[in-house]
Amino acid sequence: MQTIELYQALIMDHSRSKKYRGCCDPTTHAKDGHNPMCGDHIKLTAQIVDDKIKHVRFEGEGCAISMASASLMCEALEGLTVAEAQTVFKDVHALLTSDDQTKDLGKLSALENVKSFPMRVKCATLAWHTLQAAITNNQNEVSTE
Amino acid sequence: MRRDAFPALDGDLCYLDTAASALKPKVVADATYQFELSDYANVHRSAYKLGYKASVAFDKARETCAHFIGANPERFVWVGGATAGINLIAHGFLKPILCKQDNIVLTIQEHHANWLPWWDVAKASGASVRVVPVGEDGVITVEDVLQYVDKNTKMVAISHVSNITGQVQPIKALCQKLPEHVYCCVDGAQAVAHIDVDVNDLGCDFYVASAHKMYGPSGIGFVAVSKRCFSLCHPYQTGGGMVLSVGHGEVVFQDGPVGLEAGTPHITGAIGLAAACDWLREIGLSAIRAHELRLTDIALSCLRESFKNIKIFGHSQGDQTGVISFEMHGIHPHDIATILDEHQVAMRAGHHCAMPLMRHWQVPALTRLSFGIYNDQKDIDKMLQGLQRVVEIFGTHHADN
Repeated sequence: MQTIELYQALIMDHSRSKKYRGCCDPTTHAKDGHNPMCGDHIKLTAQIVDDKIKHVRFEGEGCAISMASASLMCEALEGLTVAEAQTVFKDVHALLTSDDQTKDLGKLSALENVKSFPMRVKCATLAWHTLQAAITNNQNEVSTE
Repeated sequence: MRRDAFPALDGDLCYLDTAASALKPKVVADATYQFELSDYANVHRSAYKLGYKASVAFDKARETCAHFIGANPERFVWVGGATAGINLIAHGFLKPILCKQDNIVLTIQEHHANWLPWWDVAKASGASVRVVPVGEDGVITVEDVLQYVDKNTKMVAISHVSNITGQVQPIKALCQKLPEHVYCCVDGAQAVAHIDVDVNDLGCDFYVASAHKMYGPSGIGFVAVSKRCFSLCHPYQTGGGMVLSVGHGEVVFQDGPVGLEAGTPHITGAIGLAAACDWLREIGLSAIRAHELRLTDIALSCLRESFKNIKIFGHSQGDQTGVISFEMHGIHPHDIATILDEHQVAMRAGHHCAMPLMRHWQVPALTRLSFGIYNDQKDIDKMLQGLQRVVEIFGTHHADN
C-alpha cells in the first residue's frame, strides 16, 4: 500500500480539524496518554452524563494519524452509551490489528489503511486507549508501549 | 565511500540513521562469525588451549580499541554500552563521594543516557543538578558551562557531539579550564566513528561510547578512565571473573579494568569492535570526516534551497558532524519518516532520547538525518525526492473545518 492511501483526504482533514480540540466543560472523565516511541501526547476529556457520552475533546501534539484518529473518535462516540462506545473501541481495535474485521464502521473505516503500516498502529490507537482508561477510571498513565 | 562493504546496502536502501546505530560492514560480521565458530571459549579462567587463545584475542581487542581513542588499555573498561558506562561512573565512582552540598553540571542537550543516571545519584545523595541551557544553534561555549561550576561542583557531564545537532563541543578547552576538584565525563557515543578522538589530548576523566555506533556489534561499549580517577572507581555490579578472593562478606577485587567487569564479558562483541576499529583506522578518521562533512554541506544547502517550510537546528557556527535535525512546518516528523520509508529512505523521527531539549526548544519532535561512511550523493538525492513527496501529500490537502 502506498502512503497516499494512508494519508487519504478524510484522515488529512481530521488531522487538521479543530472541531474536537479543547476540553469538555464540565469534564467528568479525563486522562493523559503517551506514545513513548515518537513522543506523541494527548490530553483527553469526556463529559458522560447518565451513562451517555455527551462530548469528547482532546488536546495534544502528534502525527497526522494520531490526531486524525482522535478527531474521528470524538465524532464517532458523541451520543453513544458507554457500552456502545466499548463496542466501537473493540471494532476499531480489530480494524487496526486483524484481518477479520468486516463490519462497516463508516468514517472510522478510513483508519483501516494504518494496518498496512504496522509501525504506525500505535499512533492510531493512542486516543482510543486513553479514552478507554478515562472511562474505566484506570489510574495508571496510558502508554502505547 | 565504502557502500560496497555493507551487505545490507546491496539493494536500494538509503540508510540515514547512523546516529541511532551504524550498519555493519562485512569485515566486522566476518570477524565475529569466525571467532564464534572457531576461536570462542570463556576468557581468563580456562586451562585449556582454546581458552588461552580466546583470552589472548580478547586482551588484544581491548588494546586495539583503547588505542583507537588514545586510551590506556589498563584503564579501559568494557561495559554493555555508553548507557551502562555512564551508570558505572555515576554509581560506581560519583555516588560514594557525592555529598548533599555538591552539584552536578549537565547540559540540556544531553541524551537521556547522560542525563538520567546523574539525576538518580543526585537524588540519592541530596545533591543538586545544574543544567546549562542551549540555544537552537546547538552551540555551547566553555564560558557557558563554567558559569554553572563552583566550589561544590563534583562532575560535569557533557556529550562530545550532540545527537541532535551534530555540534562538536569544546571538550579540550573545557577540561583545561575546569577547576582541579571537578571531574569531567564525556559521552562520546556520537563522536568516535566520525572524528579523531584522543582522550589524553582531551584531558577528560571519563570517556564513554557504544560499539554499535562505531560499525561494531550491539551490546558492548567502553569507559576510558583517567589515571587520577581509576583507583576511585568501584564496581557497579559484582560477580564472577573480577575478583582475587571472596569470603563470607569480604572480597578483594582484581586490579585493572577486569576488577570493574562482573561476569563473563561480551567476548565476541570486543572482537567485533576491534575489527571495526582496525577497519576505521585503515580508512582513516580524517578521510571519513572529510567525506561526511562534504555530504553535510551538500545536504544543508539542498534542504535550505528546496524547502521554504524547513527549520534546521544547529549548523550555524563552530564544528559539526553529519547529523542534521529539522522540522517542516505543519508536518509531524513521524509522518515524514513514514513517507520517506516508502522511498527506501531510513531516517529517524521523534524526540531522539533528548526530551529535556525538545521541551526547552518547545518542539514535540524532530526529523533527523545522519551520515555514515556508506552514504553518498545519491542518498541525499533520494531523501530530497522523498521530502518533495511529503510536501506533495501534505500540501494537497487544505482543511480548515
